[in-house]
Amino acid sequence: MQLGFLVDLRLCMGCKGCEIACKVENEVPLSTWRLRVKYVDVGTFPETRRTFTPLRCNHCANAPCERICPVSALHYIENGIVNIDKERCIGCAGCVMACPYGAIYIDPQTQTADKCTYCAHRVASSMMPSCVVACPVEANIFGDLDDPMSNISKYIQQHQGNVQVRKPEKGTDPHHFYVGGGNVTLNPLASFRGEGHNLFNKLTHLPIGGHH
Amino acid sequence: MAHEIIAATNAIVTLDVALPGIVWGWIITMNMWAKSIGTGIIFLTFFLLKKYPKETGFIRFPAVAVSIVFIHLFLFFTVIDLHQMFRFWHIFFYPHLTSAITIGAWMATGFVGLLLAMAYAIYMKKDEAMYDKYLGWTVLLAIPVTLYTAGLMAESTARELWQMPTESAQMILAALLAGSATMLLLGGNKFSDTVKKDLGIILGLSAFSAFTLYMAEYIFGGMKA
Repeated sequence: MQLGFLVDLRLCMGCKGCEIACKVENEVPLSTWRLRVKYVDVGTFPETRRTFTPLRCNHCANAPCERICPVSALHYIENGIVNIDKERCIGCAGCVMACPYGAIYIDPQTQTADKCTYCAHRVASSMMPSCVVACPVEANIFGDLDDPMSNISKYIQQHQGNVQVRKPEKGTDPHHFYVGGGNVTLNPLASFRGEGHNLFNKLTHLPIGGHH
Repeated sequence: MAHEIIAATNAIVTLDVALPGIVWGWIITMNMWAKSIGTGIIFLTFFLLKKYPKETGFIRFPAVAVSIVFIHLFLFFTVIDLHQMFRFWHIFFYPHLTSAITIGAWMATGFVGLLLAMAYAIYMKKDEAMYDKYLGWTVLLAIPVTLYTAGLMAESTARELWQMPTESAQMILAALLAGSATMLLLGGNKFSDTVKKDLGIILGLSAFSAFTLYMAEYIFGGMKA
């Protein structure tokens, strides 16, 4: 079994119900996210539109976070989920520095790393992840990638040529797919940024967890 | 987690660039500074004892003492950087051997053991031959202890700037730079001008090379990323 996620960005309307459901289900503290909906405005007024992209852990087959974790707190479980053992985590933040997707944070309450686990605790009880349940338009599709009859496998087959992952050049082999994505939604460097801003400077950001 | 304002639309753009802020801050800088002195002085001790065995023999004890102090400072900074520092023992009881952190912690522990053996040989036993025998192994272990941080940086794939080849060279240069500077201070006027000149050349060349690497990575790394 290899569980995976697919988001049909053509359906997502940016209600952020998934964000809220995730926060509530997993008691994610303020200023941190397991699931975040990125939005980018495209065009110039009045010809503008807004795109939405739910971002969460990609549960990579070749996960840099799992590789760098010194104590195997980040580990694979049988269904392919990259899970985290918060009791074992020493809070070195190596995984935060290793994840190319910015999906891992230091929980300010437990002072340990945390991230989306595809709601492994719910999956273990044969329930869907909370974000899937909350999505009003069924843009989130979750299932077994190894089963050709699963919804996610069928969806991928039906949309051949229009299925993408984030940062494929990183070689992480993500198990999180997007349909209807493009440069604006999936490439963080594609959007215009103000004068003088680049990847390394003048970025404002919300406070991150952790005591230093 | 970064966002900013586009002037044209006054809308907030949320970016998914992998820069949520500086996670490893000044503590890790101090960690690498202390480690560079701790291992660098061992490299330089080996060099001096091979090239000028009679003239620099007095350096044996002070060099190992300085190395012990600074390698423990390095370990101190490593531990206090952890958000759960009292779980540091997990590295030894739940080791994950693909992690440069695990490898580094184990190597550094072995390195400390050899340093203590060297201190015992020269301070308690007054046995220079035994010291020199341990020194050979300590130098060998000092290489991965110096380099493992480069491996850790290379594993930090969210950071585009840190690449294994440049970081490896950088770590060795930092160790030579810090080690030669510390050795010059340690030996003072007890060293002849020839020894001082050798140390000065090592210091100057490693500083220049490190500066070149830093600037090249700082200026061109950003363009490539």
